Amino acid sequence: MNRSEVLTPDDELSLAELVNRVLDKGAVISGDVVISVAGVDLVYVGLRVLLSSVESLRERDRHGPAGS
Amino acid sequence: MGVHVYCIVPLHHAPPPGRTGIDGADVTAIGAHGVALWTSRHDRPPPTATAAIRTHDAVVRAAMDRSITPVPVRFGQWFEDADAAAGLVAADAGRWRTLLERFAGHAEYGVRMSPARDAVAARDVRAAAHGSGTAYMAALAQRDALATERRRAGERVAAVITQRGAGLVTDTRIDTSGGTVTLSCLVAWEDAEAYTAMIRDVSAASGDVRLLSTGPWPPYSFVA
Repeated sequence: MNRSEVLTPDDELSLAELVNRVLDKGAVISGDVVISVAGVDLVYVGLRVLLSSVESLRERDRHGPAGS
Repeated sequence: MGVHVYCIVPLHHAPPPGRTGIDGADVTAIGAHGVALWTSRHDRPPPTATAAIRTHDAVVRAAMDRSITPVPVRFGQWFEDADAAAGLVAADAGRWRTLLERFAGHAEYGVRMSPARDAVAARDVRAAAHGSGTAYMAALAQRDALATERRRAGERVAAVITQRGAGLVTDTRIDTSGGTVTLSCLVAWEDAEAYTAMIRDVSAASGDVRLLSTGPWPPYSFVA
């Protein structure tokens, strides 16, 4: 049985993949990443990724703004 | 007004006419020492909402074509004005040009390894929480063992993809955070079809590991 699935843009997991990339990856060109929490309409998937992003910020703070 | 930044592109790669970004703001290019930034102007930093995140990604995708692949910028890059953004990018322009050259003609594809037994393990722990302490600890240990097994199984499949993708995949990144193994692959457009076929073949022999394929993406995972 072929278990591979290609996600469509409307899939919840596809949204999780999108949020993970846009919030937690990509180039950082300044020392700060501003993400506002109030009014966020991300559900639990987003919250998990948001926490990951905060952890990334802490990691960068420990090592200094290296540029990405 | 402040500036939100979407991506870095080669100089003279202009946004399509009428291209709008977050909150319908016009997307404009700012030149910075041999590269350009696609930006939009706002009164305040955009909220971290799904609509804004989707729009951010859509603008980055609009910068992609067969020959140009942008350097995607992480959501939340906010500058007081265009000069501040251009100045910081210009200070590291060599790095951005190198990435643009490396990404040209490529896109990112993702493979998430997802076993089906997670829900059972979580349910067992919740059920055991109402029983004895010993039963609860045993359920926790079982859940942790399953998580370790899941990660190792995912890593094994990722290794197979990396091995079989040699020649098709330019670069890979593996992410095991959050208990899920995700492999990101940088693939040339002309190899995308062969890559997809290879993933299907690996998936057919991946046992309990379910493969979820995504892409093409801008190369978010390959900037660092």
